[in-house]
Amino acid sequence: MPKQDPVPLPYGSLQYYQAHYILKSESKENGSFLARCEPVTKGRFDGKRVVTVRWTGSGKFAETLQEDAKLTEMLKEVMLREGEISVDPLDVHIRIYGKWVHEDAFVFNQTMLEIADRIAGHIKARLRVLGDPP
Amino acid sequence: MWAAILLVAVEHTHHSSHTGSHEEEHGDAEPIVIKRGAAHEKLAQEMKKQGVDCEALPYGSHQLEREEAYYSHNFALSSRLVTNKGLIEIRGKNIDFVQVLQRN
Repeated sequence: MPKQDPVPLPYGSLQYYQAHYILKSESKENGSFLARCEPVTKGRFDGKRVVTVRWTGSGKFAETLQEDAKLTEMLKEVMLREGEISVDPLDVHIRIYGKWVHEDAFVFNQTMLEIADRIAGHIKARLRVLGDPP
Repeated sequence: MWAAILLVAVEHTHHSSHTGSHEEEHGDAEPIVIKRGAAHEKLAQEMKKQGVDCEALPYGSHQLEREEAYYSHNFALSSRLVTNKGLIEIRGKNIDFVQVLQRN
């Protein structure tokens, strides 16, 4: 039987991964795209279902995402797995990501890519309106 | 730690040191093939299977991978210690890249 270390090292890489969907944008308006999506659920355990999703964030961007009915339907499919989705703007790009996922469950999700692509489409459209396309 | 990760195939087969009777016992054994690859390369392969036009970039080749921070830290509890595990370039979508991160 293998001998287990009674005092394991408290540092090092963990078995959790995260995929960041990145949109290049060097606009000064990047800061206005800060938003986070959280599910509104009903029921518990196996009966837990996502009823709707709630976007919170700065400015009008979160409202724009909340009004997109197709995006909401797509989010309802993945939010039980993803937990939450964040739109995180940095200086030269904008990142869209979910929660950390254990390596066993870290697989490509087509719906998640489409969601990120749709959010990025909203960002590009808004940048065009602001006269500062990416 | 950041050594180039290659696809490695290890095949477990019987060697000539085995006796004849021993080989007969294990003659129908299936070879054990273990494939190891970088996380972003595996993800890129899955994406290609789903019809996404993408390419796994060489590890550490893009400026995005050398950024000081992968988070704006505007959200509370954003991770601070993370490791870049590679970048995938996406074509024909609004999204430009997919970056894989590992938590520390």
